[in-house]
Amino acid sequence: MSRLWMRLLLRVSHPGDRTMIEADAREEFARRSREEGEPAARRWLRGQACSAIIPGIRERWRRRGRGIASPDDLTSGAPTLLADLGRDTLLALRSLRRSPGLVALVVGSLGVGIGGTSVVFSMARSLLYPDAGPIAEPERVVTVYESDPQGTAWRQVAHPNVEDMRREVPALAGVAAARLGVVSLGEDAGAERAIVEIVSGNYFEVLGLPTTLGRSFSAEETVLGSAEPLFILSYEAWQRRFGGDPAILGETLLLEGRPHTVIGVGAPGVSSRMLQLQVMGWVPLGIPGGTWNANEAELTNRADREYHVMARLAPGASIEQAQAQLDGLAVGLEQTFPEIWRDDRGDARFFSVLPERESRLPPDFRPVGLAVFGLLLAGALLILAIACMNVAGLLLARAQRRLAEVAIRISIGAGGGRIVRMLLTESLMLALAGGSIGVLLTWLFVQRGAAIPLPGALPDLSFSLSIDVPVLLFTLGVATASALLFGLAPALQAVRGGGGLTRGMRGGSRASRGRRLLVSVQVAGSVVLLMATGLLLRSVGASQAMESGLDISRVAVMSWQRDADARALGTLEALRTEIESTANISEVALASAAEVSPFFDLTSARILLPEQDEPVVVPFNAVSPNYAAMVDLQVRRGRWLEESDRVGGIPAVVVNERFAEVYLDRDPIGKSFTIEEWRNVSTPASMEAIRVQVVGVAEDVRNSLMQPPAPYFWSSIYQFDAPNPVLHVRGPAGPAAAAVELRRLGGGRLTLVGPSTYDELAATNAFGQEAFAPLLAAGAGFALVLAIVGLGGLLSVSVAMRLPGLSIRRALGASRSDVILDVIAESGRRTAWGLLLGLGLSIPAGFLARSVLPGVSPVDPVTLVGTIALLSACALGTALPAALRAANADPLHHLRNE
Amino acid sequence: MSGRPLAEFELLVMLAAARVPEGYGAAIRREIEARTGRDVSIGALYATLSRLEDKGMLRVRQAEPKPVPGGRTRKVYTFSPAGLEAVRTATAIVDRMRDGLDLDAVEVER
Repeated sequence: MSRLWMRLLLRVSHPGDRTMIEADAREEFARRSREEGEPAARRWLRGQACSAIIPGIRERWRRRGRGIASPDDLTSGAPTLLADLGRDTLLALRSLRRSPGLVALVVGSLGVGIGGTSVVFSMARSLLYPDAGPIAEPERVVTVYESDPQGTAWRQVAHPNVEDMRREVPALAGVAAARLGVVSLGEDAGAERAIVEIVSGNYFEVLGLPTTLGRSFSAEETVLGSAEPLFILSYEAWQRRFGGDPAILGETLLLEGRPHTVIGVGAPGVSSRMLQLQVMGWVPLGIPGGTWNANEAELTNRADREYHVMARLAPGASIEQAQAQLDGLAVGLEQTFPEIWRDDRGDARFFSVLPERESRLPPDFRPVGLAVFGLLLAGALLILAIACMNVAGLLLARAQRRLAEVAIRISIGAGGGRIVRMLLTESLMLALAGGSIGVLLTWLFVQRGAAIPLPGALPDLSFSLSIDVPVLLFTLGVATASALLFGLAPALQAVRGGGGLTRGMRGGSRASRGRRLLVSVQVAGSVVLLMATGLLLRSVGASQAMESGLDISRVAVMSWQRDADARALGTLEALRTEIESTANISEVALASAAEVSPFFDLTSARILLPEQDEPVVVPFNAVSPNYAAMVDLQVRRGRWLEESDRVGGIPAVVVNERFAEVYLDRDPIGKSFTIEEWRNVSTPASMEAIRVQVVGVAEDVRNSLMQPPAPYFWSSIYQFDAPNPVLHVRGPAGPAAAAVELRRLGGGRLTLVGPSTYDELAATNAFGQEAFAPLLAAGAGFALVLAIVGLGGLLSVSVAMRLPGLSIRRALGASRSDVILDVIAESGRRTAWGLLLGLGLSIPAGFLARSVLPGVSPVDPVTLVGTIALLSACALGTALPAALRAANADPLHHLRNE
Repeated sequence: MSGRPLAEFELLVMLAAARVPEGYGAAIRREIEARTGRDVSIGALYATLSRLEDKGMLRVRQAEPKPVPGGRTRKVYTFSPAGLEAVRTATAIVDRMRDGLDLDAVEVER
């Protein structure tokens, strides 16, 4: 008779029916075996077991709570459940109070583990699914986007188009514009850099944002071109910098060297609409002379798309109506300004409307955001898993010590289920305590704001975060899941081991097998984290060491915004001469882009190559002839641009090696191609086709550390005038002094933007990795500490368990060193298995993540050897004390106990 | 008749219980299997018997064990008045639906 299927049949049936079902099934099975043979009978029984599942479930549901119980299920039933829970909780508290050290260790490590996941979750939530904050009627607020040169829908809008929207889109009752700016705050020497939002006068009104103190801007104060220099402090900045002092109202603050009057303090929790950045405050648009980049030139330039636009739907208007009317506006713009309204692909641009809540991150950045947070969350969960294993190890050890208690409980009538429940209640309470610590840590983190340091003199990027119900629920869920993860094994272990009093006092072999496995898995988890951190740190190092091809260490850079006046008055040469005559600056080179930075492709051209039908778009840099010498750009063949390559004659260009390889043949010198149109990001495309001749080939420059060099070329800035040239300067006192000098010049009539050393600017390229490296390093460090504690704990328990055996060996003549070696070898085996498992997991993962680890092999020997050495050292370090304890134990003592 | 009408399987169980002289579970199951020619799920059968008992359609008493080694007490099911009434109603419905219907004359689309 097939016992398994019979047991299943009875198991799934309602306990009240089991006796009869068993009798009937046995009788029928016997009859069928006789008449049809045993296989047929077995088939029948199998069918019976399967077909009894659903009726059994239904029957239990029907008879639930009616006290119909079977003899083997006496304690079940709803009314007793609550009472049991209360009793279990009391029991758990009482028993946990007996080991405060263990509780502190467990709760602490769980707290950090759970806190890590909560922090990542709250960051992801704030950025991807933010709260509306104090915005009034947030569902009526929308964001309007303009498409970019590549046809991507979700980009900023040019300011003249914002004014058109106010006039021509009745479905939008109010249209507000804002852009971020980095300004210096305070006196020259002690000036601090701060992020502010430069906003249209109606910004607070359109969004319905209240002020905590004072008032917001009025329409009369903020007329474009004659707006008054006013300032509204953000609540957070008011608290942090001014201690929440209400006397700040009416004070003046120096912004960009100009006094601004503080008229109000914003509501708590108002961050920039883009990216949830915490800002210092708000400045009105249209102050004469402008603020940072938001000057007259930008506000009137229909091709300079810099403004984040938010609007409130008119009463009764729908988002679809707004979209339709914006489509109409776009058609009008295409007719009036055909060159400006076409993008790089020759298509008409368009507007898109989105509910404000869905637009803190533009939709096309969402997948990247999700991926980044997914990775962070995976890392945090890995750390938590290691913490859980650690705790499981500690609890297993405790369960081992408590076997006697469990055995007594079982022998006086507690069922297995009851014991498991009691131990799980303990785990749950530990996890909930850990979860509370986690929430506390998250709260501390949120209070501080997640600040990501930016290179150089730039202010930190602080994100506005909050703890809300979903974050709390997430934390509770994670805590409960981890309680199951670390609590189940020890609980089951206790029940299995506690089968009888005598056996219970000794413990079984299964327990030690579980413990050995735990050690290996824990080592494996630590290996994965250590490898990830090691590779990332190595990659950051490698990127910094990786040659861009240029020597930028002695150069300071800045961008110069030429407004209409400056264009009319001075030529580039005059500016150059003026700057070169100041102290600390000896030479100025001009370029349209900063090549070793995210801004390497500010200018691009659509070119038609010889013998090709389809044009291609290639970034280029329009530079002054002294540029190559300034940044040490090497010319491989032909010649560099010269002063004589001025307007007139066929313009000369120098291409990089990659360009020559991809688009021209082996001997590119003297070849020519056509620039059909070219543009700077902030200007309409120049439509006049220009034929240019290649006069030289220069080395490839690595613009971005993430990508290999792409085709690029250089032309003379005298032929391709850049509206906002990047000034490269060098001075006798070094780049930092030169940058300060430039900043001083910026206070005058020149609108100079973002002076810094070139190294600082280039560092923004590695910004992502550098921001994450400390996080990962902290995570790996914590995991390593966990691993050491866990290994130590597990080893000391397993040595304690083996003491009797080891004592017998000692009594039989084994030397102390034999015992020590034995214990260390055992720990070595466990560590070796863990190393193998961890490397088996992390090396393939490293290959998958190769694209984010430029310059490092996934089997980077330094990381590999470092990880192995570190973990082996830890294993040895924890095994040695345990081994010594075993060797020094008195054999007779243990033998007597046996 | 009060309450919900009998479901198909319940009706089969009731009819089988009426047929077998000693109305215990295994006999009822064998009766259904013999007459319908299909296997009956034991789990479903005893769940249905309990349900019918709770609905007051069947009465249950414990029978004396058989005088053999290992003989067990058995539950014997007998009809209650409500049960008989329910079976009458259910079969009458089927009868009325069939009344005057010549199944051989029903048009069948192939």
